[in-house]
Amino acid sequence: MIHDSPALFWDWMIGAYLFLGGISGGAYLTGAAADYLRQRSESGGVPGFDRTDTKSRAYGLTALGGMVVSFAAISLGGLLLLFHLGEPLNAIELWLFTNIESWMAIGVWVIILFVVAALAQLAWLGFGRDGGFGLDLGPIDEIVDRTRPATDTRLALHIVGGALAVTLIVYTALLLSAVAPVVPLWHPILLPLLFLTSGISMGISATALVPTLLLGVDDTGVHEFSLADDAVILGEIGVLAALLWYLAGAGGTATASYELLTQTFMLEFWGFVVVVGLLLPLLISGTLILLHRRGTHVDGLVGRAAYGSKFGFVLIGGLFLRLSILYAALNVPIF
Amino acid sequence: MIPDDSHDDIEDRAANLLDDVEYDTELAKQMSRDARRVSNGELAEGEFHERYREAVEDEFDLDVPEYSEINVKEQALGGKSKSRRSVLAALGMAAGVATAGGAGFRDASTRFGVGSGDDTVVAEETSDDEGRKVGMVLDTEACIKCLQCVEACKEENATHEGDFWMDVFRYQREDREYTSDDEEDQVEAMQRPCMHCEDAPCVSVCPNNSRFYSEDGRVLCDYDICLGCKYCEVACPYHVNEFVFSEQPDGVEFVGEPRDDEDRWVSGPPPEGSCSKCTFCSHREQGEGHQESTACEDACPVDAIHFGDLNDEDSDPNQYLDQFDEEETFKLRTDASNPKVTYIGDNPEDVETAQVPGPVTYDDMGLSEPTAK
Repeated sequence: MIHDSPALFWDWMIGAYLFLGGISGGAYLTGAAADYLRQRSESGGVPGFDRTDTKSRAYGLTALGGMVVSFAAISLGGLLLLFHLGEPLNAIELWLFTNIESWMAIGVWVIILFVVAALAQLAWLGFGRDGGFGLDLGPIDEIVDRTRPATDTRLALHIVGGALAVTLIVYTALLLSAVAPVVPLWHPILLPLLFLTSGISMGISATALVPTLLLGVDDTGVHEFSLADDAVILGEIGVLAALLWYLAGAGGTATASYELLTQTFMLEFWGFVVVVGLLLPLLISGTLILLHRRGTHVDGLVGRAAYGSKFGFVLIGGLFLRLSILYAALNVPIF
Repeated sequence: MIPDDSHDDIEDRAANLLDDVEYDTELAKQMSRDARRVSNGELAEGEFHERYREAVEDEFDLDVPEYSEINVKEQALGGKSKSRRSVLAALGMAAGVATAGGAGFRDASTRFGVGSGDDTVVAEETSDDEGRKVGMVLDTEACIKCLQCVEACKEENATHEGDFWMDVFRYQREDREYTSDDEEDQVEAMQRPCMHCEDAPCVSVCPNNSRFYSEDGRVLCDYDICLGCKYCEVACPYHVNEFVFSEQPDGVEFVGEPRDDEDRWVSGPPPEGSCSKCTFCSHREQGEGHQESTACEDACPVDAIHFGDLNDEDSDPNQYLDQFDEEETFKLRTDASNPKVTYIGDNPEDVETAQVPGPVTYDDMGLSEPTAK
């Protein structure tokens, strides 16, 4: 029988939402890590990192940038999700979202809590006394200063925010894989792992773009974050390979989805997801590491261009990954 | 005189089916042959209609309108006149004799549908309403692919243009040879309403509980709060949900009570932006005397659709099911859900199948074929 496709109902807007959800969670994690590293750097140093004011400021900028990217991405993603609804006004009745079996209901509450966490950290880092934005907002600054907890407490709250961030990223996959018996491409274990690794990678890239573009790549932590990104990308490649291996061998609709993904959507998948999103970033990073080891330190405009391209490629690949996962998905036929 | 031909099997089937009824067997046989010709595209539906209109009126004491009086398009869009369906039911009755085994006319006024509406329903009273669990038994072997169930559903529920809550798939099995010259014998049929699953995936994924189980086991949607998120469509193993993209065409009205006892908007055409599907004609629960039937069941000329209380051993579906061995029945996609629709026939899940279009197509019925949106 002819396969239906869930992409008939969940199209690019949902794909973009999943993409932005992944970026948002990953950016929070990156920002939180930068926030922690800045405090460690200022209060005694971290082995392996240079203790300089430049790096400390860069971590501060990265932390704030992470929260801004996180909040902006989930806000835009939430709007896309809302406008995708046929009856968006009915979403106002939030108290009805009580079906704990539904990942969409769970996701709504995760998003709400996550937005609160990200917005709070964004406000504490960006506004008030010594706020990163350097703005004078009067009463808003006063509220921020009054509510800002002690630094240790604020950093501890990153544990809650980080847990919500991971849940957010994984939820974007569980939303799909909850219906894996109907759509086998959306594997219940591999898809969450794939989106988690991809989300963290995208979050690192989106966040690290901020210091890359504003401060440059020399002694700003960009190199370190890029290395972390490389490790995550390697993990993502492993998960993706496992998913492809499973789909190719599972037969039936799973294999039909595999063929759709790797043949019909050859350009999108092999071109943009694999080459642009995974291999090119590793190639750029590997080249920079190799040059560094040979004594050629790439910084300045070339360094910005190199790292900026790498991070941009990761983001492009992440978007195409989610679109591919949606558009190559096939429903198991009724019979 | 109407020419005879090689539809010899009709003789045997008619003899069996009409043995215990009082109606004119010869008329039924002749109509059956011509009904098959209509189905095969050898005879125009209008010609068939006018050929037998007067004879049917005399035989069943009914008032059947002339074919030219029937507005096909209006019916296709959900008009409420019964005439079109009546004629098709008459057609189908004969076709049923011609092509179906194990079916016949239970009640002439029911089959022609032009008698009193209430008379057409065989109501099955249940003594304990709390234990009621409605479901269906669908006979794929008896189905003649006439699409009358599809049209009756569309007509009664006044669904939006392009939306079909009932469907009839045509397909071929790879393990079967199709050597007959008769096109109708070259394809299998599979009726597909909502399965009203006991553990419905659509209910599980619905974030705000707008998709819910009614007390009698229906799976319904509360259109007042449906988000139109389409998660139900993505999760349904049977692809029964229709997202409503358009307003209803002018002049199409739903006749019935759209709200249930708890004032939830659960029946009839939903608002634009909602997800809709078969309700087992839940609006009939609010009326008198129709609770134990659905539009598709009423319209089926060959008794291939049996709706009723699955917990009542005397109900229509259970009585019908009793005629068959367990190996002659199956349910679809039990790996993904627990449907309350049982099929009679050979399970197509066991073999490779290929979908077959027409020859009785949506165009033939004046309906728009469902399309991907």
